Amino acid sequence: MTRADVSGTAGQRGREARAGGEQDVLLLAGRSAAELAGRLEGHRSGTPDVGAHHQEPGPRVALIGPTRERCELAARIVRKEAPWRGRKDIWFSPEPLLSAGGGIAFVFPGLEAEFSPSVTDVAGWLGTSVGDLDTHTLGRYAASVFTVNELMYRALRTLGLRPDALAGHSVGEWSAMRAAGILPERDFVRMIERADLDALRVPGLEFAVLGCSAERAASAVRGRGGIVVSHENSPNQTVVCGPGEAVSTLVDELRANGVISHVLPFQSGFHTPMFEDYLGPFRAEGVPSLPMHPATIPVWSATTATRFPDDPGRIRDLSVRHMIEPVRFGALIRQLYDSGVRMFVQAGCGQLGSLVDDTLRQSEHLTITANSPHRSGTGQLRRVAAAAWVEGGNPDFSVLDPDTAAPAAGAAVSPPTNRAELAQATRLRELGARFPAAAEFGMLLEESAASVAEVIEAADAGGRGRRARPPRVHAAGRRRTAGPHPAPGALRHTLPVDVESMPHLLDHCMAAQRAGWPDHSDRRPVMPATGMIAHLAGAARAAAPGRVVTEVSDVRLRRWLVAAPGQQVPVEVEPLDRHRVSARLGGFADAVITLGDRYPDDAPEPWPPARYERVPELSARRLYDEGWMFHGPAFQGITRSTAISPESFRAEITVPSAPGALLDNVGQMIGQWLVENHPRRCIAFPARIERIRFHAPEPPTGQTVGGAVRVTSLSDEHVVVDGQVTVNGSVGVSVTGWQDYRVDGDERACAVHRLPGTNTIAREQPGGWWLLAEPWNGLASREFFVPKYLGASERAEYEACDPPERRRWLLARVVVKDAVRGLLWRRGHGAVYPAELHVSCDRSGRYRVGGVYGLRVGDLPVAVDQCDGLSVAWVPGHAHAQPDVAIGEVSSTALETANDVAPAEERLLDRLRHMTGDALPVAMARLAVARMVVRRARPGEVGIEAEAIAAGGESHGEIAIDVASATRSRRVRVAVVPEPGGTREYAVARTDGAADNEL
Amino acid sequence: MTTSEAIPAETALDDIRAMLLELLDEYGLEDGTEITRDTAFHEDLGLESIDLVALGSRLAERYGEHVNLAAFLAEMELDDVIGLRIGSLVDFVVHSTGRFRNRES
Repeated sequence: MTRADVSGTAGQRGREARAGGEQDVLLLAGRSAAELAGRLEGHRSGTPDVGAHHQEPGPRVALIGPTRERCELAARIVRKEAPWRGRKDIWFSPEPLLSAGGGIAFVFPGLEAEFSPSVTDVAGWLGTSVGDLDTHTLGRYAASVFTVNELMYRALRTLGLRPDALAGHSVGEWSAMRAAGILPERDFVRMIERADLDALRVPGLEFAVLGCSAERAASAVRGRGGIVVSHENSPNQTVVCGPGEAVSTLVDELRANGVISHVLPFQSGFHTPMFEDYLGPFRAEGVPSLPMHPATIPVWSATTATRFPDDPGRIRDLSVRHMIEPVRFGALIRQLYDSGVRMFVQAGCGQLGSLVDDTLRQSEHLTITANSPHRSGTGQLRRVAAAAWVEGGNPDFSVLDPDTAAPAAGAAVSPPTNRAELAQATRLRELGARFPAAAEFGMLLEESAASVAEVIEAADAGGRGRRARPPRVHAAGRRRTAGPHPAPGALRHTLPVDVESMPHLLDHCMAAQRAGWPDHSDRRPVMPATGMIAHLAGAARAAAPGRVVTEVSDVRLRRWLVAAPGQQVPVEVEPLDRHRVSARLGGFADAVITLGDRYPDDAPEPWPPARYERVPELSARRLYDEGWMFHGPAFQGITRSTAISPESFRAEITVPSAPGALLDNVGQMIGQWLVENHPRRCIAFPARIERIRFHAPEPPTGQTVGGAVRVTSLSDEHVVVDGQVTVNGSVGVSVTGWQDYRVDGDERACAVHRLPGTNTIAREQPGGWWLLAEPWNGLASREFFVPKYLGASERAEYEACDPPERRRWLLARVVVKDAVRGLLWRRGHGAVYPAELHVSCDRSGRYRVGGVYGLRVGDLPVAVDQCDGLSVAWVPGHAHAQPDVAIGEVSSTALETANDVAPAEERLLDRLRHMTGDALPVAMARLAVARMVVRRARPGEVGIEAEAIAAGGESHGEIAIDVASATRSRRVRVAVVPEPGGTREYAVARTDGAADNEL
Repeated sequence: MTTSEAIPAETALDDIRAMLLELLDEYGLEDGTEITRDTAFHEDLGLESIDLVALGSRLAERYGEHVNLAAFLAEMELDDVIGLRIGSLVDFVVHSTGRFRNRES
């Protein structure tokens, strides 16, 4: 809360109308309060000072309208060395809270008794409008509150305030969810638009605000039917809710006992169990119905007084609880304080600040509202900036240039700040032309610490502090309402993504196929992550003509964008503030993009070589020739692998032609680093990127630049790196927090990824059958291999499977294709890609394999069986075979039933064990799988279980068993294998379908 | 209770001024906020409704439970509460102390 200044009886509205002074902010930082007070006393009346960039710790003071009298008042306040936060438009902090590590929270108001926003000028300043802020019905009132909250959020971010936490009071929490990106703006706005705002169905219950603690309120409502506590606002304020008559009786009684109470002018029943009956429509059309994403800024819940969960399902649950459980605002504020928040900004208008102050009475903190009914919107924002600066924040005062801020209150426009800045800079420039040392001094001014600024200040009381920005001269006739730069607009278009219009994508295929393969979709050309980023950046540029992209942040790469078959992808750009837009490429990727008039000259230094560097094993040529990277020529940019270490990699990149290919090569560098350091899981693809900053225009195709990556985090699932691209020795692009997802899979999976025509994931076993242990755990990894193994028609079948069936369905095809390819290779065939085989399975469960697009395999009967994560295939290799195979676990629990074994069975097992030397569980498993194949070969025949068996010898570790009935016997081979990478054992029986022997 | 008269208006204003300055954390500050009968509680002092709770308990402490700010505010419309001036508070204190004392005597 800002406590309004008053001199005599003049209200703020009166003061606002005074010329000049309102727009001036005096900001001073010093080493001690005494020094500050001295400078305040000596401050020349009417001279502004915007030394907003002192970086040193130490006390700070700010005042609005620094007349001589006010400077003297401020000096007296400062001399007391006690914090002073906002009254009389003066802020003084002896130990700035943010400099000491304190955080900032934006707190969004919900519905209050009074709603008097002062935002028209702010909307104009941000180049938008707010429409009429109607409060006639509950729904319209809420919509108006959301509009103001959203506008104030954008205004605060434009000022350069970065919140560490977001929270809200009551439905203000939805504004927090919206601002944090949990609720996408479009969906949220659509929900509000869609709702019939005049006919929201809510319980017709009254709220009463009570000036007492939650405990006292709870005891007052005890035993009164239907009244409950709905908001525990602060130690001295609680809201209760219930039927009108009961609430009004309660209010009368409490007033008689000295408790200040009043009934709120709207009804809703939110945050009480009474709302439960209304949850149906709320779930169906309200907040829980919206898509939800993890928050980009931590959001705190007033229901739990803790941070929101990340999981969308749990967020959704919480959004329901929010409506039927009390708002615990006081507890929330206390928790935020305990988490380190020291500055609370009310992102909207209302009285939340007084609740924060009431809660944190004994704890040092700053509260300020972003909007106040008592002064112009931009006037209040100037105070927010001043307050934040005093606590060690770094707000951007220049965006509030009085030159362009629309003076809503009719103040005479007089930009002394600008004029003084301009004069100062002009003078320095003139001096610089004559005395080079002055130019240097000017540069020093722009870079150095407070001490230098103070020297200047002492030399010239009108001197400015450090200002990094050159003065801007606004051309006459420039649109005044749009702020210093034209605000980016919204933009929507459709991007056709297909290999005809983007042939370079054929050099970026996830599934290699035989040369000349006719179906592009089997190659799975996808747009690389960096290509999507290039398109997002291009769309942002189109939305802000004349500006350049200086930063791409919060990049989320959500799904593969497949280019064959082609698709039409919606591209959407929504402005966030005057410098930033959010850009979205369908459901595939999105990012926040910052635009500037030019590239900022804040490039970091190029990294020095890392420790423990060595020459990489893979030269640039081998990297591509041996298929370590799947990229074709349009993306092959690494021309020299310079040096690698356990934590870093350097290379030279010759910029290839495809859009986004430069950064794609930074991604390839991550790939090579993994191949050389962690070959077991060397396949990785981008999942998210925290921030990419552009310090210079992108180097043209053909230019050779330096690339460097440093690994900052590595786990089985992810690798995270920072990166630099250096152009002519300076950093042109810097990347932080590039996170790759690592695909599950052993060396065999990696080999299939590289060279699918000659490698298999399944392993051939002695005796010629094939065993496949599922090499991946997650769905993402499994689906990464789907296009490598399945052709177009099989992929359609895969998609048609019930999702729970897909895993087994796919593994059966993988093991069959590997077994058949193994057979073909044994027969002298060259490379065979999995997609060249088509596997079908008839109703009786019999598998058949055929060739696709020219491959001839003849009639090859195959048999498949699966158990747990293991799949087995047996392909005898001749057309007339009727092979079968069965796999079963060797289970020690079988022993528990061994006591019930019939005597005849026991004799069989004894005989088997005598022949094989098996332990009992192994013998039982062998017998079980042997019978399985015999039974399947002679369906319907009874009496084959308990006959005789005879050993037929051993080869390749397999025992041949003749399973006999009274009249016939069949030879079955049974192997026992350990589970690959596991501890269990499995028995595998197979028969090649040779006819039974008559006995 | 030694007097049968209501608290004089000047005394009430001085008392309330002291209480408000304390609330504003300006007590003892030379040339602190000037508070007159015409000063508005919300607009001029920047105090909010929750500050009335603190003021209410200070008044009750100083003069007794019968000086019931809650009851006084109950008779006002919301807009009146928002626009509350210090003069109204002074009158309220004078009135309610006088009423009580008259009854006592």
